[in-house]
Amino acid sequence: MKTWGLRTVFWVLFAVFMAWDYVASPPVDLRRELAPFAAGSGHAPQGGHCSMPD
Amino acid sequence: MGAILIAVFAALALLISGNPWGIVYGPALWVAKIGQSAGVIDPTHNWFWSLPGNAALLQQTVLLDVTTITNIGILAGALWVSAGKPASHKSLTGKQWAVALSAGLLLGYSSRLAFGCNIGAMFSGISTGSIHGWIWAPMAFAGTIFVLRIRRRLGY
Repeated sequence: MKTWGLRTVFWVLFAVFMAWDYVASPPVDLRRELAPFAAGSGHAPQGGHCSMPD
Repeated sequence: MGAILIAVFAALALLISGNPWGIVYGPALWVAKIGQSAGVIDPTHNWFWSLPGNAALLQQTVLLDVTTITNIGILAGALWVSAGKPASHKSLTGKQWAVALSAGLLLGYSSRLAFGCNIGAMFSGISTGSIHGWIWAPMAFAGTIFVLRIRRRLGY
């Protein structure tokens, strides 16, 4: 398969996954306002990163 | 110039999200969500995905995950750069495809076991003062010595 074909397949699958995930997940709470700068906000990050969890 | 831009954006990612820049958590989360939906993975019986932070991320859209957002940026950037380059007319052989796919799976899985790839473990580890990154770097370069020879032998 040509490179452009593989690229297209990848992006179509990725877009389908994102759309499915958005529809299947609970709605996003748009009123939940996060601190503009998480670092120093007093909330230690839990999960969502590569390092070993506590 | 590129290195300075990467350093600036990595610092901004740390400041805004509170997490050092990482990559492999994103695909791990995507596959875990698909596996959970398909009934292949039970996160409550998995040490990693039953941790409070990870379990919470599994229950919401991946668009609320910082690593997913930065990964979309990386993928879009790669697409943008590759669009300006001529497509290769040399097709990979079946053996090269098999090796490339196996190597990709091995890279992804081992990165998760090492708690990060060259970005999450090495770059972010060193830049945030973790000894993890300093151990990761010589190990990766030692492996690269062998892999470059394998790659040359397979004619990539």
